[in-house]
Amino acid sequence: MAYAYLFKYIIIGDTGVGKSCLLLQFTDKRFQPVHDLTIGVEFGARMITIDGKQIKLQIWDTAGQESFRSITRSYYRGAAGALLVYDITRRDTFNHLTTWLEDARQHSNSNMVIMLIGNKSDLESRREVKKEEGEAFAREHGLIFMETSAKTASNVEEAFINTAKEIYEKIQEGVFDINNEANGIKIGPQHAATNATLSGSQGGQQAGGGCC
Amino acid sequence: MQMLDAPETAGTNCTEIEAAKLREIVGFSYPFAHKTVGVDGIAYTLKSRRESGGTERKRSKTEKGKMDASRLDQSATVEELVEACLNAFDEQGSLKDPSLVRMFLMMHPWYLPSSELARRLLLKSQEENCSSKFRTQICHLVKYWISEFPAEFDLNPELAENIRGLRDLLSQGGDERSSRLIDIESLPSYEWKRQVTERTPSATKKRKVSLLFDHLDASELAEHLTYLEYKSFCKILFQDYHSFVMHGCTVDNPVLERFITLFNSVSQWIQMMVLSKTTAPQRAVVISHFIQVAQRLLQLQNFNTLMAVIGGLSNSSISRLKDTQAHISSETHKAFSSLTELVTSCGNYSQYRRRFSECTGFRFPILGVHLKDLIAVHVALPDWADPGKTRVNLVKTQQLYAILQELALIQATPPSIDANTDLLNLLTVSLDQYHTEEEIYQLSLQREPRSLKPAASNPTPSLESPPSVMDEWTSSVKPKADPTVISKHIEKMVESVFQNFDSDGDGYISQEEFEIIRNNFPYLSKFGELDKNQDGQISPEEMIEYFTKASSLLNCKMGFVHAFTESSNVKPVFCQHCAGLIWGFYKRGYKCKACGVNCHKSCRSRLSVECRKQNKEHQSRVPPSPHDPVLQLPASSYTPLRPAERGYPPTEPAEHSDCRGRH
Repeated sequence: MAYAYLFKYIIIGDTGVGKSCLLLQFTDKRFQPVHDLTIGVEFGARMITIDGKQIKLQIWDTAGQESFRSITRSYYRGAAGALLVYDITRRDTFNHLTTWLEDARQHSNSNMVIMLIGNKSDLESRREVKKEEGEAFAREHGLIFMETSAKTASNVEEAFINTAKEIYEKIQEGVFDINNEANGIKIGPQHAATNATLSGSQGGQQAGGGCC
Repeated sequence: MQMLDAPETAGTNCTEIEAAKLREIVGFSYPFAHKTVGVDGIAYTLKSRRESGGTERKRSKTEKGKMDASRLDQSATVEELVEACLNAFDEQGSLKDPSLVRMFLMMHPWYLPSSELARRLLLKSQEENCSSKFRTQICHLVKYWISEFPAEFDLNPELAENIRGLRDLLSQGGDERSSRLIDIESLPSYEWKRQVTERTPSATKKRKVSLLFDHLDASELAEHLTYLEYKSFCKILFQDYHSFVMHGCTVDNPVLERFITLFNSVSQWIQMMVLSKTTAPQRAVVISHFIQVAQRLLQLQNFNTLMAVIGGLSNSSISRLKDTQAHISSETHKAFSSLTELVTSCGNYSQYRRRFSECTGFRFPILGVHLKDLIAVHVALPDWADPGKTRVNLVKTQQLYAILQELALIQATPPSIDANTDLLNLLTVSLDQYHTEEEIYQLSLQREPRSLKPAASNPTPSLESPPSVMDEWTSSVKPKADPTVISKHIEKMVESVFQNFDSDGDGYISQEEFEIIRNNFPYLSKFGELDKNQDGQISPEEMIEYFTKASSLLNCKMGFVHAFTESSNVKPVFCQHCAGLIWGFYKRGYKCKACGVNCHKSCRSRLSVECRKQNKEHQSRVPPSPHDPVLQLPASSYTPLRPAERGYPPTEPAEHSDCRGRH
């Protein structure tokens, strides 16, 4: 499918905060099965529309690799956006945010857009981290913030799309060098050809072959 | 994953069809197997099914009632799977197509405990209408199970007990011939293999190598690293992967933890080896050397260690060293980029996957990538195909099996490496050292500080006095009670050192010789005095003490394993695991010395939170207890920059810059 831009995201955060579930929810469980020799298991990418432009979001999930430090690191390079996820029912996952954030900033390009996500907002009764705390942390570190529930799908779309909007704005402002793929942005094959039809999102997964 | 359009064949025995279909499903192989599958694979499978259809019809047996055949591609009940496995054996015990049986025997713990499967087989054999042929098939299945998955029987006493029960019942029932098939007593023991402490490798003939890492040939180093990592990999069993996938992380999983730790240690060790050199040209030499090691690892088809090496070299603590990088030849730079490109996460590691699938013989996958695949399949697909949880989702089972089966195959194909025991011992101790990312980064900043004027290649004053971090740390931390693994490593290493360096055999080596050896251990910059009694000679005891002291500076070597101590809480604290209050204030709970996590005594083993060292900001929220030397360390010895202070000046080159955050 033709797209104007491709944005690469990573999802980071402690084990068990629901990174894969967020991704699955967003990509509507379109999931790349393991048939193809060179693709492996991959969650689907997804098309969204911003400002009448088709944008393909390619999201890397680090679940299962959190402990392999140099592997997680390698994801930071070439990512335009990061979703930094904690679990509102586990304070420790919130306490570790600074470490993740430092890690991300040290190893990523300086313009990477980071969205802070407090996941599992459906579990209000078990909440350990107040929404205000998340907001304060985000303010202090210059992040966008949102609480989501991968289970009920609440705010999941918004989280991914708002991050994309922020990246898109940065492109418009000329902050991102879109000709350098190390920034996690790629111009689509038919940039101009996209038809400005609707807002919101359209499904459409592409096989994740090729280099992103 | 609709692979075949199963035609409704009236009057056909369903069990047979099920078996055939199940075999077809498992006929697919995981992408990192070297068989090519895909469209051709599907076409082939379909064809073979149609061909075999006729024979199956003839061999119809017990009528099981008609089932919706189209559902069987995707799912089957446990009962159907057991039946299909039993029917895969003939009375002589030959197995035409082992794929389904292997898959079921490996994967059944996902939906049925092994001891429960054994119990079911036992019950089946005691059913009244159980024919002697069927009983024999049960025995053949059990025999196959024991021979293919012996570790499970050795490590699961309940399973072994149930199987013994089955054997005894059969022999009491006069079925001696069948019961003899079940030979559970001659199982090898896997306990020792599972121990995290490694036995001294049995090197019959010693390979001549340099024991000094600076002089060590790149191939030698690559091979010895491969040896160590592969050995650690071979200890990982199905149980460990299963537990990892179920928890999403390592919980009570020392074997896998040890493997991951080793992987991370290699990356860190390389950074320390580079940063231990005081001048830029020296550091460039070390970097170039490790790039050669990486190239050699690729030749060895060891992608796991290759990833660790590349990860270490591309860490920002190394890549930010502009002076050093300037001393590296463009050719070496090019080699490095192409290796980096090979293991990039781009396209879901498509480059690596392609390259890996083409390898034959010994090959060592990047385990982290395949663990991610396991987690992805597990999270994305449900275990059961129906809400009632009666039908196993075979699509999922097959996908997981393909990955695990491939990993098992790799464990059965060792490299032909003739390792030198002494070098392994030295390497092990050197790799044991654990540093936080922050420490390494601080060292990097000291080597080449950020400044407006690019630092000249001659060392700046700060370089002449290397960080005293280690010295002070060691003096303030007492050796902990549980450094058993490390102290064993040290003892072996010291033994090796004396065997090789104590040329006159008097039990001492000279201070000069020791200085040379010390270059192998980059973290030992200016560490205390070794020669305690000042006699100019170093005894094994002095050396062991020296290394033990240096090693104990961090109690939680594993990086993410908590260093729990009993804690007394004056203020109420809550358990990280169950969120309940930890009652009472004298030694009621456990607290991790490194990250400050609290939990109940009883919850300790189930805590799933990994240990991540807290930085100062969080430590200030959790006041350190006066009995907690580790927590006090950063304040007393060195002060890591607070996140806010870590803003890089605008002069810092762009790639790894700016952590001041967004505007």
